[in-house]
Amino acid sequence: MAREIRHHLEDHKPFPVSIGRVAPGSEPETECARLFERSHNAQGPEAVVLDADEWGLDSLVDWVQRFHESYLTRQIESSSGAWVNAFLPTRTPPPVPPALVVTVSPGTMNGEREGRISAAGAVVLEKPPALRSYDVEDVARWVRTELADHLLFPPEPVAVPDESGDGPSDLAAYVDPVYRLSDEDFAELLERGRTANPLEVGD
Amino acid sequence: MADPFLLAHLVNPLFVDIGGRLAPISIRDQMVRARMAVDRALLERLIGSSRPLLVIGAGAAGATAAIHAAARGVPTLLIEAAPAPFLRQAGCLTRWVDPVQYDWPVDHWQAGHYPWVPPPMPLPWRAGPANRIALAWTLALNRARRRYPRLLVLYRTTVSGTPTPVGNLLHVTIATRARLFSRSFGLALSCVGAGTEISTHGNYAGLDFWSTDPFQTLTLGDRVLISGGGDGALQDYLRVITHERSAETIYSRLGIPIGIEGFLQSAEDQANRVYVWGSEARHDHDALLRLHQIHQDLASRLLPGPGSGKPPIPGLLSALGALTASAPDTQLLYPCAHFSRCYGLNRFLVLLLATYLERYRGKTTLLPGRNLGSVTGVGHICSQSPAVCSGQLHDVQASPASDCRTSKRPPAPASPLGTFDVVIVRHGIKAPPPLFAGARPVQQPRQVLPYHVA
Repeated sequence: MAREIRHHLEDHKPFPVSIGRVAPGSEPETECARLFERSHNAQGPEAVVLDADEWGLDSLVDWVQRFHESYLTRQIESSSGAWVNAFLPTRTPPPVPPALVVTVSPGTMNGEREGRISAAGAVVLEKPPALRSYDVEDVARWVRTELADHLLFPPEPVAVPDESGDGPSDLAAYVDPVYRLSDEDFAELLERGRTANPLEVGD
Repeated sequence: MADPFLLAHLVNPLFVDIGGRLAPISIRDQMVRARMAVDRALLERLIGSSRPLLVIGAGAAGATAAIHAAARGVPTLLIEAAPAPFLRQAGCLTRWVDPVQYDWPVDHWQAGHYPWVPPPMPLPWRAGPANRIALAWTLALNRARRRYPRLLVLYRTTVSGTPTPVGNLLHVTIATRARLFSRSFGLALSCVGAGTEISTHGNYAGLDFWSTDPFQTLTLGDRVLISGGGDGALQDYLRVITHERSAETIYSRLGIPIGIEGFLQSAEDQANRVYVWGSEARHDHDALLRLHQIHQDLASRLLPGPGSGKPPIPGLLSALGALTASAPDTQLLYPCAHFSRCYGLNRFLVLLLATYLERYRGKTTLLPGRNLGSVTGVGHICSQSPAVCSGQLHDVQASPASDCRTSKRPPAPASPLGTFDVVIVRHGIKAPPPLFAGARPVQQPRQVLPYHVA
């Protein structure tokens, strides 16, 4: 009997993440300054997208590198006292920078180009051929679908252990159901024992 | 410190290294080590609310350790030399990453997700392309930074000099943006990583392991040479031959009887028990050779050949035929009579496919006992740049390799192997430089890790 492979169906519900766009002409130092000027409760987008077709590879790599440099400089300057006691809570902790995403057209990468982009500090995503528009909402919608919630969140727990402390704990609740034998599984195990070792079958 | 896991990875007082040359080395294995290290350090009271943790390296292991510790109230500093996290995977559009693929044939492999109920890993994932996983992890790390204010992350930052124990703390000097500052930690955990995959040979530079590559689009008429006998080479052999993204995808189409899996799991377990106590080829050779022969014998029985008079397993021939319908002319060259230590699923599938191609299509794809010789550009001069060599023809020579137990090469000269459209070099991993002067090596680099993390 062959193993029946169960595949998790890819339910591409869009992943809830805020996404912005960086248009050509934007200066990374300015974007970084804006990031630090926001109040603590007004975080910017979690990810920002730069399109390689819009920017050109060299400009894009330069922008990404300068953004990271600028962020690190401001991070140090804004936490000067905390560098000695780095874990003291501060009233305004430095903002978390967005993830930098570079979208590229299919077939334009050759190993080296995306290596330059990732070495600069950005993630490369290849656009689907149908996505022609650079409208941020189109790109954002597509990125959210690409990420899909199954990439970040684990499957729903099948059992919750009883931690009330009343009576013996349900140890079985910690065990993934794939390790719990059903009657069918047990019958199959018995059957395996009766099947000849494949290397002992005579020629 | 009395914890056996921490002691096994201790390279200096209060300095634990879970990067470096360890085995097994999949992303999932690295994350398991990271979580275990933090859990054990908490139990040992080496880290806690008043004893910060330093994590070096913001890859999968480092981010796992940092988030896991911060979620438990440990002030944590995560430093990374690069400008952003997960850069190995961030630019790779074609490498498929699956957290449980190489747990085959253990039961939870079929389920396709981690074998434990929550609390989950800090960076959980299901299978996907490397670049998308890198983005998802980056978002998860950033969300953790917002959630835990005492999780501090610094990029372009490294350790300077040698960490020094002072009392029951570790004094570390940290260098960032041409500035130095010093801080004491309860523990330092290095997750710098296993090193760099070797993808060059002489002046020839093939595509890196984590580069975007065209391997799944090569087809009939292309001539492909893959040099190497480890997981990297075997993965690429499978992708080139079948155009499928992963070993799991290939296996799911074959209908292999479950009894076969159990038998192979036993063989793998026996070889692993030898391998765990080895450190060099002379320790490993016999066990790896026997394992290779078991897999090959099984493949031969599953595919007895058209003239044998024995039927193969129903559906297997048609599945293999469909998988290899557009396979390019491919050869896998490796130095000994066996593959290197590698995951069982890769070993089984490569030998099964190679046996099918040889017995039913008349194509020999495996070249054991050979070393890669010269790789010379046709119409161009190789200059250690993938951009120069990629997409170009190369003349390749190979020489007979000696038994892996000896480093002596036999006197026979190299001979021409042919001209190839693509040459893929997967010659192991170049170890990273020492973390600092005086760092001891990890005492038990070859390991058996748990599947379940409580």
